[in-house]
Amino acid sequence: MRWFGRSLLAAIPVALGVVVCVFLLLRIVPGDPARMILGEQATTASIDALREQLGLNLPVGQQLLRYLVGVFTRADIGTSLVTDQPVLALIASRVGVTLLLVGLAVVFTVLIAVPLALIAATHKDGPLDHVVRIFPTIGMAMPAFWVGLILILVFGVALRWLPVGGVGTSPADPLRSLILPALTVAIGMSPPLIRSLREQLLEVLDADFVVTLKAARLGSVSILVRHVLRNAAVPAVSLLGVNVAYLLGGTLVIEKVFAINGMGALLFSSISTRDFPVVQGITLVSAMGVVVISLVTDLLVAALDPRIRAA
Amino acid sequence: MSTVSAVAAPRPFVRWLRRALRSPALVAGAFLLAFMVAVSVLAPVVAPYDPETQNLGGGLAAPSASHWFGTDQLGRDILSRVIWAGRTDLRIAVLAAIIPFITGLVVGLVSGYSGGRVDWVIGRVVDTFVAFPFYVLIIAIVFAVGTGENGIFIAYALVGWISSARVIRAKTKALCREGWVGAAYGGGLSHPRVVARHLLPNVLPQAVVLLMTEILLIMVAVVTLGYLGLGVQPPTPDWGTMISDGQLFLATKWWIPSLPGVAVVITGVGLSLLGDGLADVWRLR
Amino acid sequence: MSVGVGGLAVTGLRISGETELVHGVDLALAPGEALGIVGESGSGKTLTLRAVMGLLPRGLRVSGGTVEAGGRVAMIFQDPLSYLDPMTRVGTLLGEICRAHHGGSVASARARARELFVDVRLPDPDTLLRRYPHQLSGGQRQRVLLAIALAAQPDILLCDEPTTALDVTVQAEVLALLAELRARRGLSLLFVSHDLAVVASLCDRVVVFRDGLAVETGPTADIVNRPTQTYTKALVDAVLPLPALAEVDSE
Repeated sequence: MRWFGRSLLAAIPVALGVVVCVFLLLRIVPGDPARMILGEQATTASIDALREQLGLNLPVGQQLLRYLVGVFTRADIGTSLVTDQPVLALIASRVGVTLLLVGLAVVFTVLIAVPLALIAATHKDGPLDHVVRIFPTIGMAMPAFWVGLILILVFGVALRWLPVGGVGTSPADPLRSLILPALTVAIGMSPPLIRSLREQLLEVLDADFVVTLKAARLGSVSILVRHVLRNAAVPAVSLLGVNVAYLLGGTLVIEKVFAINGMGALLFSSISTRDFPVVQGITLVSAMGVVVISLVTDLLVAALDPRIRAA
Repeated sequence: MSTVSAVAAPRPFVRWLRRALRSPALVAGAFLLAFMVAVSVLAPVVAPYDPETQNLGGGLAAPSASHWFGTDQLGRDILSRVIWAGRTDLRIAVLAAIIPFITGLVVGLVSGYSGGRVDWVIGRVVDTFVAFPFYVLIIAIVFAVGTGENGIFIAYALVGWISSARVIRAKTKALCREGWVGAAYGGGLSHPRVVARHLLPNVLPQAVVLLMTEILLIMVAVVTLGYLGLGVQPPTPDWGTMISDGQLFLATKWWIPSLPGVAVVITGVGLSLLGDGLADVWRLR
Repeated sequence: MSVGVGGLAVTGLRISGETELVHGVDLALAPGEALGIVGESGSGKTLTLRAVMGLLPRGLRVSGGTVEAGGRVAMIFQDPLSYLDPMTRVGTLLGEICRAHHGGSVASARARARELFVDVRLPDPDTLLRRYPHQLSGGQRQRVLLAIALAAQPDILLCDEPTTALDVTVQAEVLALLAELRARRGLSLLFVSHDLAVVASLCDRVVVFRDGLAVETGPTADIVNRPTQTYTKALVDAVLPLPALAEVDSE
């Protein structure tokens, strides 16, 4: 398990760096952060009170230390200026829906990207390959939220197959309402994955060990499924893990399009109420989520590739 | 690819141009992009109506001969608004890409060339930034420094250099392994000279292709921020705000939120194809 | 003229990609014979083997001539580490291949795999069956490749520089194993190498390749002792003998 220890060790400076960056967010505000939060109309008294509350009158080093200690010992990432609740509790109440959405989006992404990449790689330079390769080019140019609106237009309004907006009340509803948003996120996520997976597959298809298998007269399908996919999956899983960071951000935006009451909705409502600690807290939590997902990806890759376990 | 020759003869460029014209992606992309840029630049001339003129009686009209894209809820001609919004969004996207492009290039070159501790520190910084979901970070920064154009410039300058820095670093490292870089240094050139005279020209094609992708990403981010109300503020026209304003009418007057998005897609596809085409011509794919 | 079981007839073989790489090669392998192909890199010897197997790399094709093989053909390769799937245990891989050739249950295929491991003189077969390729030594991996080839019960075995990547002592063991298998099973061997000494130790006849052409063919003894072509002479001379060392006086 030495390799996992190394991954863990590498994640620690990143986690620290993330907290420091989030801390610095308030400090890049031009002018007085308290005034920015309260707005131009605020009285001097209220601004001073807020500065006390946020600890802005202390020296910067001490502020950073307080924040670091708070985060790592008490999981205290701030208190909402609007509701006085701990930010972590606020986020925890909303994050479930977001996680469900992300999970569904990952499933859809794999369902879209893997077959397309397979088709493209096994028909290299043929017409099918070119058709598949156009998708990433167009996909990258389409803003995700606009794709969401088009999907609503087609599937929700024109065809009336799926519900649009909100998360319903009956047990089956949450999943049904999440299909379109998850699909939207997946369409945004697939382009880079299709490209990379296709490249990986091409490399593996020409690999030496495939020659041995062909020489042994194993069936093409057997070779593809039992050997090629497994070898290509390793870098693909790594890539998927890396892209989850991008996926998380996009999901929050999509929540707004589909009026889903998850962490994204919390983010945007906090922005309009200028509840800075919540915005800060969400930024921190999403980044930490990415760090955790990276570690999980490392685990998955090791589970797949015996050479890594040996190192 | 061989190092750039000092002779500035027209013939190598003509040869390159001929090769470029054989790439369908490059031609298509260049054409689309040129079209969108031309329309934006010539907006005052090309737009059929003034984008701000309201006509409350003729609002919510479907696309017709007199209004190709129809009218919005205030009776404004959508086509003209789309054209003027393109002006704003393209301008911001191109300008906002400059600083991260330069930063990414410099950081990538320095990191890849120096190796050792400098590379390690930069690597940790990159890893930290990469942990943040892109849009969450952009939104948080824009929230902190203020919305509008300046917010976008600052946010992207802080965040946008990372992916190109990584790619440039990898390319620089690969070039350094080829040995002739060490030879140049051994031949008496100082480090900055080696980087500027020898590494930079060889890394530039990759960087230009990355630039296309960056402009594309910024444009999509500008439009997305506009949609969220965190980007370009009214009354400046912007594709994003047009779409969010029109979302009410998605089910009934679909053209109001949909058509501005089409403009984004066309521009984006143009950039994407151009980037792919350049990568083909410079044999980077 | 038809080849017998275990025979091979290659006539006028041409292989091309963007340019022609092999320019009309003739080879004849009699049943039970061991024919060596010697030449330097780029002489077309590996491509010829691949063409016989029907496994030319992407972008290359047979542009002329015929290949006639009597019976089943199997092949072993140069660098066993890259030629074995790194993510599959060698026993599982061999079992899968045995099932592909002879059908049957997973258990019977496993038993067959174990037998093959014994045939190729792999020690402690039960343990090694469960290993991954990177956990084996170079010599063991080459024997696994050999076991894979033998699973097909071939009549002809093509060998593409199988000893080049091995240590010299291991090389000798693998060559001995090949000779033994040939004797026991009546295999015909087509053995490619750039090392004339290795080829000479194993093969009855030798053909010399240069730049995509077969420049000389003959019994091993003739090629080594009485080479007629200048290139062949150069190859023979290039084989370094052990230098005559002066005896050190012992006190």
